[in-house]
Amino acid sequence: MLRIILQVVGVIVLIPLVTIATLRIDNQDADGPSILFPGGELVSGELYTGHEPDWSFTDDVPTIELQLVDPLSSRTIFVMESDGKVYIPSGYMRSVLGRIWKDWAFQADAGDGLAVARIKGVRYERQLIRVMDGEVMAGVAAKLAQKYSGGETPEAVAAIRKSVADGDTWIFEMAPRDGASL
Amino acid sequence: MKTKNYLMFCAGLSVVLVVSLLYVPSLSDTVEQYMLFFLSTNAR
Repeated sequence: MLRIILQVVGVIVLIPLVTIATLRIDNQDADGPSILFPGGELVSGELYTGHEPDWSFTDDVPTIELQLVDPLSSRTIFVMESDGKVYIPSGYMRSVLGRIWKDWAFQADAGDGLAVARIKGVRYERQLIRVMDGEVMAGVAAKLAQKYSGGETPEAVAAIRKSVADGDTWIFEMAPRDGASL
Repeated sequence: MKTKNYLMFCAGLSVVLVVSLLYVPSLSDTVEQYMLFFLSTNAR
């Protein structure tokens, strides 16, 4: 009886392990991420050069692809425009699963933050800078609530601002790289 | 099930799973959607 139970448990454990390993390996060198698993370098798409674009077009963009330069991997993330600048969030930062799932955010914060974002097929070379400024956060939280939390209600905005203040959600500005044209 | 047969069963199941994920259209996307939902609900 114990043998049967252990064999059943073994199969139950095997299925998710094989699934995760397969999807992870299949995507790791792909041109961009899948829904959940990180991909490789973003190579296709026009590389944007010139003046800082009007980021308001991202209001209609639900997710973008973001690739860190070091370490080289890409993932799908949310995007928000606020006051002419563009931001990305990373949630669940204080949970155990989050620390595994959102490793890119820790790497960006600890490293140089150099990144490439692909939005509607166009690549933008950016630098991720973590933001904690209260005034900036007001607009970012409002846009985050409006796009991804069902509406810009006072409760939703307050919850997001609390999540950022508590460290559960990190916000990065996708700033121009040093020396880039403005 | 004897150990040898069990291991062969697990190996065969793994092969079927890998081939299905790689070659059945939309299966990997569906699986990832469920995993994303699970993480979003439990990564707190």
